[in-house]
Amino acid sequence: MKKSLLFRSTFKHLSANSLTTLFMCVGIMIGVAVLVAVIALGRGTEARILDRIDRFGETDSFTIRTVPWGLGGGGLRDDHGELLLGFDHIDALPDHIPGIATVLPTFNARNPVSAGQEKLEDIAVQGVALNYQEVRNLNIYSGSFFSETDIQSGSHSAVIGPALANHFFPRENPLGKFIQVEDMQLEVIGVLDTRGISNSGRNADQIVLVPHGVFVELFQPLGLSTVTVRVENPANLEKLAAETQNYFEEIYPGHQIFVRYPMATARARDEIANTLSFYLKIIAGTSLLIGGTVMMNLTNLSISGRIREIGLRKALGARNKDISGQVLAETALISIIAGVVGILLGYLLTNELADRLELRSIFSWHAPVFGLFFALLIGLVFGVRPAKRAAKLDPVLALRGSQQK
Amino acid sequence: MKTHRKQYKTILSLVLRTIAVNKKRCFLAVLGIIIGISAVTTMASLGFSSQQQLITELQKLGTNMLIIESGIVLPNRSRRIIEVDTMTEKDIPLIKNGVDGINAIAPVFLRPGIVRTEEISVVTTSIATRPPFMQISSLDISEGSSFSDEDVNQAQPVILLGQTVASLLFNNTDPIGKSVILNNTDLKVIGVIAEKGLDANNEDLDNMVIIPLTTAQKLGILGIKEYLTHIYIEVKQTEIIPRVKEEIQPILRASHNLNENEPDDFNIIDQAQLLAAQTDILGSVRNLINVLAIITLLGGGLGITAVQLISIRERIWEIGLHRALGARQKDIAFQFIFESTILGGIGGLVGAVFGVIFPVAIALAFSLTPIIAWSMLIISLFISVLIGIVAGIYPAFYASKLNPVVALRS
Repeated sequence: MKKSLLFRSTFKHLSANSLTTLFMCVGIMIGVAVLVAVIALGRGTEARILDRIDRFGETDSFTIRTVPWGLGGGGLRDDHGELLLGFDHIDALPDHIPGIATVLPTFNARNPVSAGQEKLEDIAVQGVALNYQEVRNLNIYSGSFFSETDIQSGSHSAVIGPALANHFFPRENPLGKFIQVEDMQLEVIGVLDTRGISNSGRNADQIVLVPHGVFVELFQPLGLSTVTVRVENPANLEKLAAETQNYFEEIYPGHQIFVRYPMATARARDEIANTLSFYLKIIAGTSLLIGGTVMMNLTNLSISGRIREIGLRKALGARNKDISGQVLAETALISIIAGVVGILLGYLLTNELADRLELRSIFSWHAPVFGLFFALLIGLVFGVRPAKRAAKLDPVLALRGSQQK
Repeated sequence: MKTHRKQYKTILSLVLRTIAVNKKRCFLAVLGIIIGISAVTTMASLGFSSQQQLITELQKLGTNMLIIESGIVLPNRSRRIIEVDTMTEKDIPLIKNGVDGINAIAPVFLRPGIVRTEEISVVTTSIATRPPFMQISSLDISEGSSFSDEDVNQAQPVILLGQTVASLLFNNTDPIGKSVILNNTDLKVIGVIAEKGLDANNEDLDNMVIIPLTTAQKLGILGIKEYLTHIYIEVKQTEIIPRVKEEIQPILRASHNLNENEPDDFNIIDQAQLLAAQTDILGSVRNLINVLAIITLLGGGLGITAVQLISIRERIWEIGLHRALGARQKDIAFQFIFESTILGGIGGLVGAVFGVIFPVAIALAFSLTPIIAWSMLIISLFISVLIGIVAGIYPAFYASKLNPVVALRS
């Protein structure tokens, strides 16, 4: 049989047995669509969960200091003869170490803060840059964060933690009120959302943020005390932290640079990522199994339903090779067409479900390509045996009826 | 009546023979149902197991921790402002015995302190407490050992160092057995706490030292008296946190002799942000499990239906033969319904058995807590069997109405 003849007879058969073909297509389509949808929704959920942990636990950033934690408030002045990080080196960091998304230079101090007659000792005062809110994942409870003008002009304004707002301005709107650090009056323009208490008993809600320039005016630091670095992929946090430390120790030979990150949270994140990827594998495997079974059943049925026809062909002179070739060609054609439709169907189904149920979905080319490949593979693998069997049939027996097994 | 029963018997034996002859077709139909049920149940069950695993992992970050902070809370919901000395160790058994669902409870006296050797001094958080604190705060010991009960009972002068303190004071040398001075008192280092890194607020969790509460009280370290600054509590599950908070309040108010007009002189803090994150995370997983169950049930269901319909079409010839041999329409319909009920029943039972075995085996193999999604098992069982029967009934009616001649010709 010539190739063109093979194709023609394939198409003819498929359209002649339209109902069986339709069911077979539907089966494969469903199998592939389920696979696409399940993997996209699974991956979306995984990403959403890990994002949530990164947002809560700052597991996407590490912190560089020139003074070890535990010594002083972060090295305001050059008391210990230590090195202070310069802006130029900090700004160049993302160019030198791939994988670093943003750097956030911050000044830290602990200082008394007052408002009117009320005074609180040992409050964290931070001089911040414009991207501070984004990098530290801070939510604003009321008012707003510093504008670009506030930061650039060093306007005497402050964003304060809710504990301070409650303490200084009970039953009042703190926005527009003034607090005092050293001798400087600062207008409260925003109140942060609560962050609660840390395991060490420190209250993260007792904090005053001021623009960089204001901090320099207040404390005249010789350099940056803290630099927070956000990485593109939190899974690389540990590696990039180590690279950054080496990089700075090469730039400032003889000095120690201290790099820390939320290790406990990062480890928990890793474990959670493992659990989720395990579950993803389970659901992908399960949906493959379901889709595979359906496809296998259909292929088997469609072939065993045609034994009489095969007998007729053989009686008319078709060779074994022709028969099995035809069966395989049919299976492949159906698998590919139904697979492509299935991918589209899965895509639509996922979008619909994700929209309605507020799930996130991430499509990857892996799922559809794999799904299609799988559909084809199943079709061929389960097509080969019946095709061979059909080809080996005695034409007389086969012709006698489709009921013979 | 008797003839009826006989007819049923005939049909039943016919069905059984059909199944025996068409072993492969029946096997495939049953296999579809088995895989449908066991796969959906396995997926949901392992989803629940994974969810349980996530809860355990989040617990290490302190989701089930409550901290009672001593101090008067102002009515505007601010946190501790005025320190008071009413909270003491007497409150510990009152809470432990008065509230259900408490795993561990530890008294804490927390103060900034200066710890030093001859050469160097470090400003740190010093914590005087009892052994359950280590479990509640998920602190592990990386070198040496934690306090023994004996250390605590005999108020031994021993101290545990956080990683930051250990590396600043002792650089890279082994600190175990060395002595440090905490607020003018000599203490022997018996252990170093495993590194925890920064917390979400960029506070250093390793800049701390821990001493037995009894030692602090006996030697007067930290200027300690009888009272506590905090009580740390670990509850059994996060769900009961609101109840536990509610129950602790009257116990402490009574213990501190507060009258109705006085405000609480303590503040119960949970890990609000972490709990919000956990609620969100577990919600996403639950959503995912449900959606996946729907998709796979739907997909599997449609798949099984398609298979059934094709396989029935092939039997039109057989139906025609039966009709030609004198079977009535009713007999044909009964035959098909019997057949699909039997197949559906077998598939359902075997599927249910696998649906229990698979998730348990996989969970155990990957050291997860095995949980079986019974609801999913029942739903998928019901749906699969229903599909099996419906897919059998529809063609049965269709086939029984056929003219035997037409059916035979096909």
